Amino acid sequence: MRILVLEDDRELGEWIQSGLSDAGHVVDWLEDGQHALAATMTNEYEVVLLDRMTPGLDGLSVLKAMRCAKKNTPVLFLTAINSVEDRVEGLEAGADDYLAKPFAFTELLARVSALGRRNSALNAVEETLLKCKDLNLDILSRKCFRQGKSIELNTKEFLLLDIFMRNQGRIQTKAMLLEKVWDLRFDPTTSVIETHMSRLRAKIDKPFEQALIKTVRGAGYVLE
Amino acid sequence: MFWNKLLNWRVLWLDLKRMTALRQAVFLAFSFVILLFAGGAVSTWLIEREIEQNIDQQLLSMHSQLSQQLMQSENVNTILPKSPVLFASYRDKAGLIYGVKSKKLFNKQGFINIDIEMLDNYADDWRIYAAKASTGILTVAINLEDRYQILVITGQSYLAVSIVVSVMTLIVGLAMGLVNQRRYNKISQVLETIAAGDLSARIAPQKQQDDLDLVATRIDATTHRLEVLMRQMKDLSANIAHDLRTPMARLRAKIETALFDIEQQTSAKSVAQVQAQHADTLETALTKIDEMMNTFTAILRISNLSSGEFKGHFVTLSLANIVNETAEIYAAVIEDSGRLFSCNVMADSTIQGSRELIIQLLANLIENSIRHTPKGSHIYLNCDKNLLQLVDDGDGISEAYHQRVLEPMYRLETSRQSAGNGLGLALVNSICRLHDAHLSLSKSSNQDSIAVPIKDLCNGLTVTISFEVP
Repeated sequence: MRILVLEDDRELGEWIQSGLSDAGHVVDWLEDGQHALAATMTNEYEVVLLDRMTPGLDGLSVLKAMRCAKKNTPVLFLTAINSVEDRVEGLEAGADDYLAKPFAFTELLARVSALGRRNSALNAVEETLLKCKDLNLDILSRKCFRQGKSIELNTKEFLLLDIFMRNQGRIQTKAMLLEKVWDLRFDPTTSVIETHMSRLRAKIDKPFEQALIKTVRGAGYVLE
Repeated sequence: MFWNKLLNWRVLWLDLKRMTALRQAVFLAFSFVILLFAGGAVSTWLIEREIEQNIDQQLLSMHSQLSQQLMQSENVNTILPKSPVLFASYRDKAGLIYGVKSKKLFNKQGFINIDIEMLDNYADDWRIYAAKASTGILTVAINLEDRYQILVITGQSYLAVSIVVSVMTLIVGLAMGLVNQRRYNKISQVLETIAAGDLSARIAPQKQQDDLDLVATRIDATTHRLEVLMRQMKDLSANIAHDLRTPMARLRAKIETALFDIEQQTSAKSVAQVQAQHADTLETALTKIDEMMNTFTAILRISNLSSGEFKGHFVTLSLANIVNETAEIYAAVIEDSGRLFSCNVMADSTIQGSRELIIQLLANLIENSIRHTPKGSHIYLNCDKNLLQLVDDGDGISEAYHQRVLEPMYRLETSRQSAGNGLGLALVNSICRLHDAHLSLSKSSNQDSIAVPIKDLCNGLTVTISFEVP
């Protein structure tokens, strides 16, 4: 993917650039808001990362200008100010996701992949039958089958599996799952996600030989 | 002793000069006396005028009476009266004067005050009335001694009253001023102590009767709040020091050791072994950093909550929905932790609030319960109208600490070793405050439980949150 990063902190910018490059993305890293806006107008990016406070033009203004110019590139906001006001303002201006500093790189990578995938999904036809190897999920009838056997899932388990099936091969972090399934943006100290994941795995993986959901240490879970 | 007293008097005098209350009392007393004197003067004048009018009336009637008698009688001398208080004189057309023979009496017609010596023991001031009568001029006179007497008595009584009143006013004013001054002094003294850094100083008014007591009570309440906040700040900094320095020190040690190992890489270990060891070290380091970050996030969150920023995002919520949602998230977590869970929703109520914050509040309470109850304990989440309640039948907290545990980073010594940053309940408290909800901690018992019967002889903790019904 081609990614634009607007970040005025050298060390952090370099870190993001090298990390995303290592993950196989093409990264343009700029330190000035005006340059970044110009870049979004001339180049086609799949994901844009904007820091909230930057010289020249701040991230929020860049985002607003982009949306005014009908640029619908997914935008991920990075900010040091983790306040509700800030988040709401960003999301209302048309940001697609929001990440507060400091963050784990795996978290950033997972969110960037999700945004890139969302972009391509916008153009794709909505699938009603999701498949991963011998696991099938029927969105319309809300039924799950593995090796022809029917598996009973409750609402949240269905939502969880739905996310994994649509994002096969992409890491889902705990924070992302909390946001998507439970719409919560705080970090519960106990193992909420672990518990629900282990219940889901007990249903779709445990009775079978091959485990489909894997734990990625220090990052999250992935279905492959 | 004497000097002390004198010094005290000097201080007292300085106080007197400064005392607003006393100044007002003295000013009032003086104004009062001036008014009293003005009143005295006016009333004396009025009385004098009244007496004068009275005398004039008497003179007129005496004159007309005598005029008639003069017309009828031949012997003028027998008609004209003469006493120490009144007399009459008549001057006929020939110029002969009968009665008191003084020319002054006939100088002018009408009412005049004149000076004639008549008797030793009476004043010489007379008021006379001279007018035509019969063929001559008749002058009647009344002595003014009585009038003076009345005026003098009036004046004296006014003076006496003035002195008594001004002395009384001064004494009362002084007394009241002194009493109030003592109270002012107490307030200013306490404020001085507070300003000097001792937040435990209190004015503690004896009674609750006037504005000054009210002000004192308010100052005390403010100081109390300040004291609590200051203590929390102190606890916070002490605990930040403890809770962040300790992991930081460990982290530093770990990294240092790892660095040392790289420098001194011994041939005894294989590269793979060393790498695995370093990976392990780095992972522990990351976990430690995340822990510290979480503590900071929680502190920031609490200060965000205190700023009231969230209130702009409040919406109408159903408490029952939130409770059910929380139960759905946590039922599995609680059961997997080896504890029992039940959720009881008796009746619903709608409130203004933030869904995420209330879920976080319940999540913190549940996580606390899981952390501090033994396995096999029962955790209940209840909702009845505007009441939310989390009950457990664990070991509970001693009632003496029920208030303290709500303060940021306050941790019972027993829980210091366990996980958690000591901010959970403080966050709960902040969220309650933001929602104007009342938070109370109590020992689990059937009386307080809004939904379920609790087993007897249980020490567990019950947290009740009562929201205001709109």
